[in-house]
Amino acid sequence: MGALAAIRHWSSTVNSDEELIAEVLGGRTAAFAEIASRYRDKVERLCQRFFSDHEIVRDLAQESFIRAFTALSTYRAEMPFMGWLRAITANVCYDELRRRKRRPEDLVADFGVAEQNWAQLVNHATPEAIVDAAEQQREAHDLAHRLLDALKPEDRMVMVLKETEDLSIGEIAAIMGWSEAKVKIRAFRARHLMRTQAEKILAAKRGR
Amino acid sequence: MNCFDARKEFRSFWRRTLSPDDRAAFAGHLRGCAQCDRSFRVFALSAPALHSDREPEAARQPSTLARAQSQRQPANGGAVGLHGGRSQGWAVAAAAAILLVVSGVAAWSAAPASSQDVMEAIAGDDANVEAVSYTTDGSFFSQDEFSSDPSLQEPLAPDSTESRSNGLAG
Repeated sequence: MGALAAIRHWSSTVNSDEELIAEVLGGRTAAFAEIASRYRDKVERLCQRFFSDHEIVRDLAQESFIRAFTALSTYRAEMPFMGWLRAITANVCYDELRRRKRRPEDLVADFGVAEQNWAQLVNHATPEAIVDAAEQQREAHDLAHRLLDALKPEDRMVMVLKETEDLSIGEIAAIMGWSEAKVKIRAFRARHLMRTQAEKILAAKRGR
Repeated sequence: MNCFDARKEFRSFWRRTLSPDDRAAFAGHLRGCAQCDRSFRVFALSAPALHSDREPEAARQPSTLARAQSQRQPANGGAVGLHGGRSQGWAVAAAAAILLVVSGVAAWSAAPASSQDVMEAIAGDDANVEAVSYTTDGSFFSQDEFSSDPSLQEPLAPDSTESRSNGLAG
């Protein structure tokens, strides 16, 4: 079989999201397996923006798929399936954030040695060295998540959806069921707090 | 490269999507501009959580389904345990929830439903989808697009009274 024929054969055997959804709604629920396997990495990646613990990430991803499965009849094909699934996942993560106790906003006081060392590196290394080190050092991720943990759940939702999913104010408002004005205010507050905290951390390390 | 251009490239530099020439120009600008250098270091503290593109480590660990099954089918054929940790307990509960939903569907469906397939898809380890795409606009710490927006001065309702109108609340 030639390459073109192979591609044609492959494309003729791969069902679209809409076809799979129709199969699930038609009673062949096993088709949901294909839907879930297509989007599992993306859903886990979004959950990972909110939580660093792998167990929690996995649990929230599963919760998202279960909600999607049970609500599948409400999906409308006018929007991409991933957009619909992202909205469900974001709300699952938001519910979990609200359930948890927020960290105190003054982070510097209880830094561990590893986090102090990472902050020291960010303060003094070259930009290239910072990027290289961030890929290797767990504390880089821990500290970043601690910065995010200091945000209110609403602020954090806006921060993550805008920064990592690159959504517009209107899209975030639609996902969260908030007004655009509220999303703008939350974005402003989140950025202000994150910047203030980061400046504090860097100033503390520079002063030592 | 000027300050405006440099600050747009924070994300791209972090994600290594700049060309070698642009990367060198970016680094060169930061060496000569204390303000942009400072802004990049501020950005770098949160970037690992917001802009890291690493494969989720959870995907490389044994699937929850496998762990749930090991709970459900112990070697000695004993009873199902629900106290093997938060995730394991949850997985068993989730499987039960799916079973309820699926059995409801199966009641009117001609084709037999497979809750196993659903759970395997949710918890399996063989997913192979492309990475989430990102833009190269690194504006978060560099452009204050909201700072001049009068709506930012409006008071927010207290959190306790805020609600979602998207119908997706849990």
